[in-house]
Amino acid sequence: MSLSNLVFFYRRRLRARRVQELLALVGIAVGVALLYSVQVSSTSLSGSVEQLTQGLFGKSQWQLVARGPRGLDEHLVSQLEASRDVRAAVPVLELPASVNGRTGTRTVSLIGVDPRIGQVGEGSLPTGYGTVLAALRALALPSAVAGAIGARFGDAVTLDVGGRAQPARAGVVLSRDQFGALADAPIVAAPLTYAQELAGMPGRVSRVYVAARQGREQAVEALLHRVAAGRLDVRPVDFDARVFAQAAAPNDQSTGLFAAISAFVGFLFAFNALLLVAGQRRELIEALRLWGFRTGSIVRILVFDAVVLGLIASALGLALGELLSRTVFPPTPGYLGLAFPVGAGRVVRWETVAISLGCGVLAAVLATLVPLVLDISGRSDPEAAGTDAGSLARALRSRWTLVASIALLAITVVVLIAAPGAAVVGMLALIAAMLLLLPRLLSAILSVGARMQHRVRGSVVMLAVGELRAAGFRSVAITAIAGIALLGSVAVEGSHRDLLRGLDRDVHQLTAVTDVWVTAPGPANALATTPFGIDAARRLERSAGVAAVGVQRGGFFDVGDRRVWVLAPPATSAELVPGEQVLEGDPAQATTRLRGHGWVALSEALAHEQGVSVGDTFLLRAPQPTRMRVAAIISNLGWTPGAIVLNADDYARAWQTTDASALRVTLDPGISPAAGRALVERALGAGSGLTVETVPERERSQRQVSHDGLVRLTQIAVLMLGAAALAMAAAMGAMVWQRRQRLAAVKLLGVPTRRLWHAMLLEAAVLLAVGCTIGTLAGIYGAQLLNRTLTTVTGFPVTPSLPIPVALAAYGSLALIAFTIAAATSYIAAQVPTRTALQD
Amino acid sequence: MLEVRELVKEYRPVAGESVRAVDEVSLSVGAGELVALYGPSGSGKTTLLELIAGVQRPDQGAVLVDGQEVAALDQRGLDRYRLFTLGIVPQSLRLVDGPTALDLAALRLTEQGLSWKAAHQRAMPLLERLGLRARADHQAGELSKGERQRVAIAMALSTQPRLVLADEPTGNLDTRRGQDVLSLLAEYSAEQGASLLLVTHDPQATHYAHRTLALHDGRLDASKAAPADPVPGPAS
Ligand SMILES: Nc1ncnc2c1ncn2[C@@H]1O[C@H](COP(=O)(O)OP(=O)(O)OP(=O)(O)O)[C@@H](O)[C@H]1O
Ligand SMILES: [Mg+2]
Repeated sequence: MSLSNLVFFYRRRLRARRVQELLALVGIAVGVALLYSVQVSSTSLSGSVEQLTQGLFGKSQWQLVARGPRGLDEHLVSQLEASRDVRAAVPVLELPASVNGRTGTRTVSLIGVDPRIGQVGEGSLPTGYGTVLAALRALALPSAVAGAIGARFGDAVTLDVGGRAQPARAGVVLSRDQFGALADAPIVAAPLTYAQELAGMPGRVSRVYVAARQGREQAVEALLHRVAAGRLDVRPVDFDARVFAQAAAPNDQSTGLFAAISAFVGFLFAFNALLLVAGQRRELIEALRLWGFRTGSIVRILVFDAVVLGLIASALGLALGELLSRTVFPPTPGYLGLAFPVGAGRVVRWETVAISLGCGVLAAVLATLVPLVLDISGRSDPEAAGTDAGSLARALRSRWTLVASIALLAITVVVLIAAPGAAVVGMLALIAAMLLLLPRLLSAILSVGARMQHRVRGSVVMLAVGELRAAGFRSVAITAIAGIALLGSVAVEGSHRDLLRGLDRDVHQLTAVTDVWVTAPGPANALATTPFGIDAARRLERSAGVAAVGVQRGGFFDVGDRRVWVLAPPATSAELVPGEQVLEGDPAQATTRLRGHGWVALSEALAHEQGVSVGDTFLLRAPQPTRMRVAAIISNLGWTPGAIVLNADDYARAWQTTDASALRVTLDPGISPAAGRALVERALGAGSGLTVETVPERERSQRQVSHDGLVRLTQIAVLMLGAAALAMAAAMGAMVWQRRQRLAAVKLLGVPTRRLWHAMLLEAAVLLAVGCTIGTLAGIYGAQLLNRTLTTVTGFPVTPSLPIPVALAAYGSLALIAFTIAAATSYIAAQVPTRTALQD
Repeated sequence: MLEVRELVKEYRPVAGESVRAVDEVSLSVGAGELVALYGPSGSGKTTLLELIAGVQRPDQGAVLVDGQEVAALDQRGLDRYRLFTLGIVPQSLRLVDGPTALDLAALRLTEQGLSWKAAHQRAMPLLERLGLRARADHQAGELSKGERQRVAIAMALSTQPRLVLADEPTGNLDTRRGQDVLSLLAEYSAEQGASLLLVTHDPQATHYAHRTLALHDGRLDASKAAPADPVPGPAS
């Protein structure tokens, strides 16, 4: 058959099944859209980190990185430049900062560069700008940042950096046409000397990017290691992207898993819709055979059908996904923004498009061919269409499915208890077990119904039970949609809530250790990682009403591929690590040890990676490398890449700094926290630039960050329910629509319209109740699986619970929406003209 | 009992000329009377039945059943008319699949308010009469075309309707089964005093009918009141 013939034939046949193809189209499109938008939002985050380094320093190979926030000495650059092997050495000062404009605040990286950046950048700041800006003493703002804070060329802005609020001016706005992706980066650029001045770090830089002369790469690497002398790190230029990938992995994994579940719902929907036309297709095949078509031609016709459907649906899905990713799922860095320069620009990779498209077409092909191959639509006789005489329907009710589903459930138990890392396997096994159990459960309920049907006078129960039994596989598919959607959303949202509760508990335990907190300002500093001068502590100690001031230190610090949070509370704290966060080792002993000299507590995953346990020694590669002993293994304190705890004095020695990152102020007895905050603010003076918060205030600003980063999970759960409600309503609607003629026949025999409607309502109620109930139960179980995984694999602090409120809400909303839509469609279907019964 | 007065029904197809499917037809069927209606394909037989069943509204004329005009009934009235007065055997009927043949035969009775048990008891003898005893527990999907048609007859007669409309009830049956069905219908109308209008191509039907009518292009044709070649059969 030629292509033009295929197309002609396709269009002719399409006329007869427009509605069903449309439903399938919608199902596939929704699945593709979800896959696409979730992928885009995660590649955008990592992409923006990559683009930033690539754009600014892409032509260099290494970076020499300071280990602490105080940076390294600028003179090192001339030492490197002196080598003939080095083509370029570019000093960069990079510090977390917040920039405040008229209409908002953004967390950014302050990047100080000098004109030498032109030697390693790819289309970065044109060389001239640096000189001009240096003279102007102004900032360069990417257009995304400028837009977010409402700053235009020449406007005054405030920069919170190094614990000080600095007035500055927006000198240049980096537009998208001139600077490309850089225009979306969360940075503020400034001439190096000006940036050093703003940060109060004259003569210091954070890192030096180094490019080797052709063929001299090895010599340069050796040189760098000599210069670093064990006090600086030599890293490849793409190191930040790698560290970011590590930090983002748990979030990516969980979102990915949930997106896959939602896409599955969409594809099941498509499958269900195509099941409706499977009978017609089989008749067509039989007719073509009789007319002498060869098998090859028949296969080509069918595959053509499927591919056309798949391509159109995927294209639609990509468009929808693009819309979703711009509106509902914009890339939000959340808490990762605390430690990485993550932009809000969207990065779409061709792999994302290819994967989404491929899944869409594959789903269409499977949904078209599987019902034919498995013979599940029953006899091709139109009057018997939809009978569950098919082999799959029979197979699904055999004893083996029971055995198989029990085996699958056993797998989930094993995953839950012994192998929490295999959450994906566990979830898939749970879904499969549920899908295998559904037909049995449904047919058990229907046979109870069949036994009951003669007890109730009138035709309603008889008609409902009869139709449901006859619909066979199709009613199973509808319950399966409800089941999967509820399983997914209850598990996702339940585990999400547990996670948030766990994070909040951690925040509370780490925060409620004093009366008033003093930290550097800005949302970027939610974990108190920005250092500021210690003199503020001196001032506070002398003021009335203050009983004690504890100096807390800390910051981010790279260990291997992990950007770890270092927390160094004052040695005088009651507990250096909250007891509940200690996973291995005795909490009381851990505190005693940590108060003394030379002990650290490491988070679990980090300790595993480093191969150390309680009592072992651990080399802390700080600016002053120090051998420490492990006092305890702890949770990651809510920072997924990992955490290290040591006392503030040890930190000062290892990082060679006296700076604090937070002050813990204990008030005299009888002074309320609010009054305490006011008096601390007064004591610090108006120009200090530091933020003073009571415990609840500090908890709130920290909670904001963690909740923002995880809000996507709720969005996915809600979206999944929405998609499922539509899918079910459409499937039930299509099922009802297909039997208009039979409805008309029953009317002709004298059954009133109202009673037909009641019968259809009963059917919808049964299907929804079965699907929603089993899905909810499985979802509650699934939440425990996800909780275990999040706890053990990602190290998220989870407080497990039974997600009953979540389950009830999800159950209620899905059942209500789907039932309402089904009620409306069946009401319309029940109005079918009686005459239809007499037509063929 | 059934009285049709100057009934007209015109179809206006999407394209092409309009068709007068029923053209000034008047007829009456008395209680206990069986009237056979012949006519070539497309002559308007089904349309006529639809007008009588109240499935379609006539353009002109009236259908009176027991003196009540069908077109004047509201939805409730129509439902009651179809459930209590009328028994219709359509040309082909899409049955609900799932319930058994016996369930289907009893369906209208229980809709009238009988318990299923009582309804089954009343429907069973009817199925036996139609030779479906062995098929009573089978679902519609498991029945042959002819068997399904006989189930449809059982559904129509189960409520002992006073007016029966049958559209080619023997269309899918062999001669012997056809005879059985026809004699059942004849007996039924005689016993119950029901009016029976039988649309058919089956020449045997003349032998059971009190009167025979012929429809041509929507008009009753008085001259051609019987099929050309009647086959001998049991006298009525
Ligand atoms: N919905 C419709 N729209 C237009 N024309 C119609 C419609 N239904 C029937 N007709 C036309 O009305 C005429 C009578 O149709 P009807 O179905 O009553 O014939 P019939 O005698 O029952 O035929 P058969 O023996 O083949 O069943 C036919 O010419 C048919 O084409
Ligand atoms: Mg006809």
